[in-house]
Amino acid sequence: MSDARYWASAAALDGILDRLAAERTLIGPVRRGGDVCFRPVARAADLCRDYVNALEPPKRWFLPTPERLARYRLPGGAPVDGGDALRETVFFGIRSCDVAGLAQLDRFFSGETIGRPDVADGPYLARRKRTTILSVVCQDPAETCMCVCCKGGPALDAGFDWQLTELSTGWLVEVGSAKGRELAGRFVSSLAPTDERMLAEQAGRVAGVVETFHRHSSRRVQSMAAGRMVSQGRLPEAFWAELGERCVECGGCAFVCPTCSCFNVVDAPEAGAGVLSPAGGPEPAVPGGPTSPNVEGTYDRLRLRDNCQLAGFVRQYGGSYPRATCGERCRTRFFHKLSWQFVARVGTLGCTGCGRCAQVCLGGIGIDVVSQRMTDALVGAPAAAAAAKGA
Amino acid sequence: MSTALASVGSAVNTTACPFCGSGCTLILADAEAFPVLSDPVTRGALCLRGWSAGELLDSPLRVLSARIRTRGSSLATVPAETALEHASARLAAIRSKHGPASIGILASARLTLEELHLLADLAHAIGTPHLDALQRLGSTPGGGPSLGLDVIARAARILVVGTDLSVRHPQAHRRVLEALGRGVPVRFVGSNGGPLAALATEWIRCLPGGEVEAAAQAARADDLILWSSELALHGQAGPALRKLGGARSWRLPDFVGQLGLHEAGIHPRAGGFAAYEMLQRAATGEVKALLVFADDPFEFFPALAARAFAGAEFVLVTDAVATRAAEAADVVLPGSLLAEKAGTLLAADGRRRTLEPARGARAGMSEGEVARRLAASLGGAAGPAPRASDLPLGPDGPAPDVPTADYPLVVALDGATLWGSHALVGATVTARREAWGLRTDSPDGWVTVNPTDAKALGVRHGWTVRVESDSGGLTLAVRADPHAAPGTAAIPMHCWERAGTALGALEVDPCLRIPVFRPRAVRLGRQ
Repeated sequence: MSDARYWASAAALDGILDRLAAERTLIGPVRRGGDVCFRPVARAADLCRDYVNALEPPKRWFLPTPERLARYRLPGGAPVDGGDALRETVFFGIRSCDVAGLAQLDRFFSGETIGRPDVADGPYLARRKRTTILSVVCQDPAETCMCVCCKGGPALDAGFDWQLTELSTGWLVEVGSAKGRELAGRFVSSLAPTDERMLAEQAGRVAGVVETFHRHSSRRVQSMAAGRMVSQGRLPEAFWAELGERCVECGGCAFVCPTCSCFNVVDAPEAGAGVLSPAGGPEPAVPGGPTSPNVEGTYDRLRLRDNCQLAGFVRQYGGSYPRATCGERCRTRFFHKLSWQFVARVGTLGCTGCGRCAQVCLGGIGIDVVSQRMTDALVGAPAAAAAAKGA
Repeated sequence: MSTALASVGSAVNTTACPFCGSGCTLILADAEAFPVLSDPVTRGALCLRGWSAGELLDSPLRVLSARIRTRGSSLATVPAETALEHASARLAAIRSKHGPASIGILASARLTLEELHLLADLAHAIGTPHLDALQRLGSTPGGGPSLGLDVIARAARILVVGTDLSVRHPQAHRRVLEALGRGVPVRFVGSNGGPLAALATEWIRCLPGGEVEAAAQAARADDLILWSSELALHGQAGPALRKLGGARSWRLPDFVGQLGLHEAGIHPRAGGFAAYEMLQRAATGEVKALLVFADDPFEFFPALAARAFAGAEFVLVTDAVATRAAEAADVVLPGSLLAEKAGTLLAADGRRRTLEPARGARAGMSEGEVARRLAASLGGAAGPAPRASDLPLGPDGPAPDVPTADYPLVVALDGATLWGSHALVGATVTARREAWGLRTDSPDGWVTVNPTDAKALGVRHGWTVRVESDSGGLTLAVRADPHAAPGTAAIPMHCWERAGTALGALEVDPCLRIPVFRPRAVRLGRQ
């Protein structure tokens, strides 16, 4: 729950953003053709205001791919210094579904999910620490948006530094963290107290989004029924096999998912090292040491985005595949998105309803379609439909 | 290397995916690729190759400097100017001594239209008729117009012939699945159709090599026919061009620049050798110099390529990524990726698409620049190449085998499983890993059969079998896959030469003058 609320005029907010852009990196939505991307901007005027969301999830800023985790020289393995210092960064315009996703990633990469703070991910947390999130409540969701089903929006109670809602007279600023309070303190002269009318307007706008979704959207993340089916293992093999036929193993669903955290680590000669042998390419890293060929030179340990749907992801060193078919890998993915077991461990669904997986899926099996099929399997909708058709 | 939150770029750079013929548009966010949502072809989706395309930019396998083979047989790094002068001098000497027809040029469907024209100009400047590309098999004229993906959305019925669209053309695959979802009848004709065969309204099973005949019999007047070069791989180019052509037929291109090969006239001139013939003639010493641009003939024909590179007096390879061809060359010059180039691509629907560099050229050179410089050096005032007339089609290729009592299965190439054979895939991390795993599991290759055939044979997935035709045989691991029709078998593309030679299946189709794998009747024996 927000611990303080303010009102800012549109001009005042732009002024705040201009000042932040001058002293830090300000990243926000910009338009390129028909697409919206989050990119650094020099001033508030460069920001795109009429957007829904970007296909690129904000996690790409915190888990860039490829990311150099270490550089070392062989023989000997002496570390080589490198990398630029991280800059303080402000994100403006991130949507609630992505804020909720970042909260999940924070728990995972801090080790909180498994109760192991000792395995916290330094590079990820370093980036998050230098980041201020000014999220903006979505008021005109896209056809694929389903945050309402997953407690991923349209507005949140926590996870942001500031949560901004555009009102008829300006912006409602909700403060959600110590960093947010500090920011509000700095710009106190640009902020004004709120009144009941503003809070009511915000509540009305959020309720309007929810109502519009329920009334007009045909997409749902059927978390209750689907969660029951996948949690209890009640879906037959044929269900997953058919999904496996539809999945083309592109990896896109995980690459754009705001909550997916899987990554791959490889050791590779440094970029442009002059390797002329295709055999000298990047190979999966052996924990703790470089892989063969152990040739003199400088090597990078790289982290790249990954996807549990890929056969290479599950392949073991000895050549076995614990989840050999694509259908089996689909089962794992959706178990991690919808199951009660996952919710019990993580505290929330593995989906925030951003709808990106529905946008990028070549096989047409985004989480809305799959969870609907799970529900159909529970309530027998296909049989009912067939009976109705026959009648 | 991405430096998110360190020194981030503000540009939103787009480029074309460098792999298949779909022509997807990518946004490159640092070295991370994302699909363009508003692009009518891409519509926000990519296959794994596209998602991995950004990994190419800073791949350790990028060729960023020129090399010359020294007397001690190792490749030494030299300035690009030195390498170009050396190459030019060697080519001039060979042409002077053996004539211009002693030099052959291998182009590639990874190049822009402008670069392909520059390669045609280079052949003209040298005076050689030997100009071709190994990927030409799908770029010949005929076989229907270049339709757009929207035609799939409008189709009342769809007939997919012998191609696994999920790999060959994922965006067409997506539209076909969407059509299925709308209740459009989709029929698949073939012996090994991948997932589409399983999902289609009907799978019309036929033996390898029988796809065209089966499709011609099954086709209705309102069918949209989709096919690709997998038919040509099996010697069916002639029948396919005759029987599957027409206004309702679309031969989907396999590579991003494949339609440009025809547009730029990349095919042998009168008296010239086709790509495969060029390698054969280099192996015997008739072709003295080979100029290879952005391709790796070692991938599918490693033994022939090794003989060709050894037989030729001089080999120049220009590529953006390391390949076995580059390893074996006398001179290596760095090329550029599509993301680093300005130019034009012919999209799958035949429209011209302009590329702007999404990133500066890392090597400072491109394949087109190398061709231009060599042409200027060797051709003097030869000027642009005249427009080449179309390559005439030859007679039909070899007929496929039919099964016999002694050889009850018919084996063909699996043109889809190992897209990792593509040199650019090998320079990524994520897409490479998928192919790397398969190859590591079965380093000597494999043969895919239906589980019922495997059971009848008494073998399990992963066991080794002897595959024999009446010409010979070889030992391969067996993979049991329900996507293979009973009575058929498939061997992955990277075993094309070895298996083709052992089984007597590797032949040249006179129709397009391309190497093919003639479907052979075989028997499998437990080892």
